[in-house]
Amino acid sequence: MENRLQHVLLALGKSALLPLFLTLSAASVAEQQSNADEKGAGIDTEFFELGAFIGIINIEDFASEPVVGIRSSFHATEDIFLQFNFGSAEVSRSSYEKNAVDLVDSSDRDYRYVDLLLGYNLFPGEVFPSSARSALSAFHLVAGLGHTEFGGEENFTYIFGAGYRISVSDRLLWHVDLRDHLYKTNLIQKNETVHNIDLTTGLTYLF
Amino acid sequence: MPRLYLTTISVFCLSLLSSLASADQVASHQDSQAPQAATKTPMKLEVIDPYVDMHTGPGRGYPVFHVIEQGETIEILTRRPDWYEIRSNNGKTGWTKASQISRTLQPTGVPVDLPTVGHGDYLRNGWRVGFTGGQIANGDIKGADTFSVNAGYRPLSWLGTELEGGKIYSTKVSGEYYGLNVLIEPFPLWNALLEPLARWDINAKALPNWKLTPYLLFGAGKMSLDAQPQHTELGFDRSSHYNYALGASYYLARNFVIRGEYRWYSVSATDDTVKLEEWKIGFSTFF
Repeated sequence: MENRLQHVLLALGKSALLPLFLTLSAASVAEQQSNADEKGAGIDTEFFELGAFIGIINIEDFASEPVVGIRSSFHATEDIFLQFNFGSAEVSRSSYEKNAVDLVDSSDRDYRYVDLLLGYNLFPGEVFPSSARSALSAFHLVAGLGHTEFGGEENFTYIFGAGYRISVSDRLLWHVDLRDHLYKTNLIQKNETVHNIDLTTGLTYLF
Repeated sequence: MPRLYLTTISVFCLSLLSSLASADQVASHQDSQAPQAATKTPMKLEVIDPYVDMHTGPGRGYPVFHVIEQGETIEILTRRPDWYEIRSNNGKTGWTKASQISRTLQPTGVPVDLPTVGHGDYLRNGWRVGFTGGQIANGDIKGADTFSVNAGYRPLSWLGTELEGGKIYSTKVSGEYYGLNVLIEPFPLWNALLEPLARWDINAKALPNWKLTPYLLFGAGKMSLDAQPQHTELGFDRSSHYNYALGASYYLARNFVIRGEYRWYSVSATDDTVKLEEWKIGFSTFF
């Protein structure tokens, strides 16, 4: 489990550092190609988002815990986007466990999830923080599939949620999201479907 | 075992990022020079359509607050899916639909070829990433949920390759698989065959842009299934498998595909060959 965590974190570490490296390497390629291809030269694009979030996740039968994670999106059209999330929380002992026995070993108390979501901008809009300023916003819905690791279990997870985002500046977006993670578990010695709901907020950078 | 799964995640991240970098080389170049970007002069174009609407935001519902007339010049600031942010002569900044400024002239009088990701573009540039979800449809683990990520490259309009890594979940087993797939799409192949003919025939009709394209998939890789204690008859570790599938892609939007398939696996487990069938549905996006 630890090993796996390290690998996940490594992979994610790479994903954070690689854009920098690739941007630099791509820059030199682009330089060579700039004369060859006039198409789109000099036009900046804003298709991708990368950022982090922080919030609270309620883990059914256990506790509500702080959660942190990485969020990245690709905007395919004005309506649809794809989103990849990684979130992590450490689960403290539940009130039952404090009075009786531990249900989950201390080594398995890390809660981790990976989400692949399809998003739809249901209500794109504009807000006016002051008379001189306007900011683009959107209320969006997401649904998708993922993977949850907790208590030594790995579970296929369905995710449903809704969120709101607003542009703080041209390229910086502020998000508030509410998501339900559903999966089947028998961690407390009976099969059940649990709903783990997280409320998060975060910033992403558009590029 | 975890290594396999994580390798797939890394591959996914890597391919996503490299495709991202290769597709947006020009844009990335700009990002890396952010401090200079402000001083760099944006692309200037002359409008040759009767008018161009400027919206307050990049979406069909945002109100039109300004109209640019024929002959005026505009500056292109940024691009979002289907929309461009532009600045008019008199300094107004707003958003316009990509199709509205597709007919514009460069200062040299040459029509500009603005990038739009279309069908043709998809068949030309070949990076795509996506994810799928599905279920095992036969045998002992019927009903087990599956989920996979894939990243692919398409060297020819009708031929694609992809790396795929996935997980299988049920109460009886948990498993992992990864592999390399080859996809053959007959409709674009048809186009590719007809294209040279069409070039000679002046009266030839334009080749169709297929919205729905069926495909054949062949693949090979490794699969592991770890059985839960009460089902010891199942399970194998990193066994070779080959698979084939019939499926179809449907273009929801120009750079966004929904994909469905039915797949047959043949896994060489320790004692015998395990046959698995799986249906899956997925979403992919391409650059």
